[in-house]
Amino acid sequence: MTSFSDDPFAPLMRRVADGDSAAFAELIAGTRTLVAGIVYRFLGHARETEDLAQEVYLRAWMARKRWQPKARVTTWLATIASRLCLNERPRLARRRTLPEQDVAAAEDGRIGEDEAQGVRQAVLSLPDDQRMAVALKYFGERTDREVAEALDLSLSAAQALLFRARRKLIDLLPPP
Amino acid sequence: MNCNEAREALSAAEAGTPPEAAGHLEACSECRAWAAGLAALPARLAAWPAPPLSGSFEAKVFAALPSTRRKSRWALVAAEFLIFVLGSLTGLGAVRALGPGPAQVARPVDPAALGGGGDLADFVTGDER
Repeated sequence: MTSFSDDPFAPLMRRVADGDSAAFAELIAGTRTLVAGIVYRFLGHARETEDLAQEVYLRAWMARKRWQPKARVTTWLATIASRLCLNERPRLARRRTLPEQDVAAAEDGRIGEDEAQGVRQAVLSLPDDQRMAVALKYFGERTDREVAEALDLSLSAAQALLFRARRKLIDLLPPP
Repeated sequence: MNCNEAREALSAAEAGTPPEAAGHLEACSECRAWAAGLAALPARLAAWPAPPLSGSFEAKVFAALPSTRRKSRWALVAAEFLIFVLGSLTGLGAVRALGPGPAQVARPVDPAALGGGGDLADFVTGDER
C-alpha cells in the first residue's frame, strides 16, 4: 500500500473515525461525485447508483474506526464502492426488468447524445471486472496501483485487466 | 517485441511511450494507430456524463445510519434508572441518618453530583455520533 500523508481528506477522515458526524457530512460532500461516478459507470443506472452510493457511505461510517491512513481516503471509499458493486450487481441485474434496462439510459439526462450513448454501450459491454477497473481508472481517477488495491489484485494483474478492457474499448470506440 | 507485447507495454505505462515499445511503434503503423486510440480514450470516455445525485443525498445517508436516536433513548432510560437507583440508595442513607422523611427517599440525584455530567451525557449519546 502507498502512504499518502498529503491526502487532503485525511484530516477530515481522522475526525470521522472519532465519530464526528459533521466531518462525515463534509467528507460526503467532497467525495460523493467521485464515488457516484465510479458506481454509475459500473451499473449504468442512475437510480441504483444513488442507492448504492448511499450504501457505500453507510459502510464507510460503520468501518470508520478501522480506517488507517495507508491509502488515500478516496481510494478507501473507491474500494468499498467497487466491492459493493461487484457483490451487488448480480442481485440488481436479477431485480431489473428488461423494460427498465431499456429506459435506464433515457432516465440519465444527457445520455441521449450519440457519443455518450456509444461510450455507455461500450463500457457496459465489458465484463464486470474489466468494467470496474475502467470505472476506477478513468472515472475514479485512480492510479494503476490504486486500481489494484481496490480490486485486491497484484499490480500486474490489474494492469492486465486494464489492458484487456482498453483493447476492447479501442475497438469499440475508434478515434474520430 | 510483437504487436500484443507492445500494446501491453503501452497500456501499462501511465504516461508516454515506454522505451521497449518505441522501436516497435516506429515500424508498425497499426500499433501507432492503437496508441493514438489509447491516448484518446480518456477524452472519449469523458463524453459519458454521470447524472447528478439528488440534493437530499447526504440527508438520505444520515437517515440510513444506524439510529443513534433509538440507542440514545434506551441509554437515556438506563441512565434514568441508574440515577433513580443511586438516588434511592443515597436517599435511604439519608433516611437512616436523619430519620423518616418520605419526600427524600426517591429524590433523583443531580448527574453532576455523580462526578461528571459530561460522562453521563456521553453515555446517553452513545459512541456512534
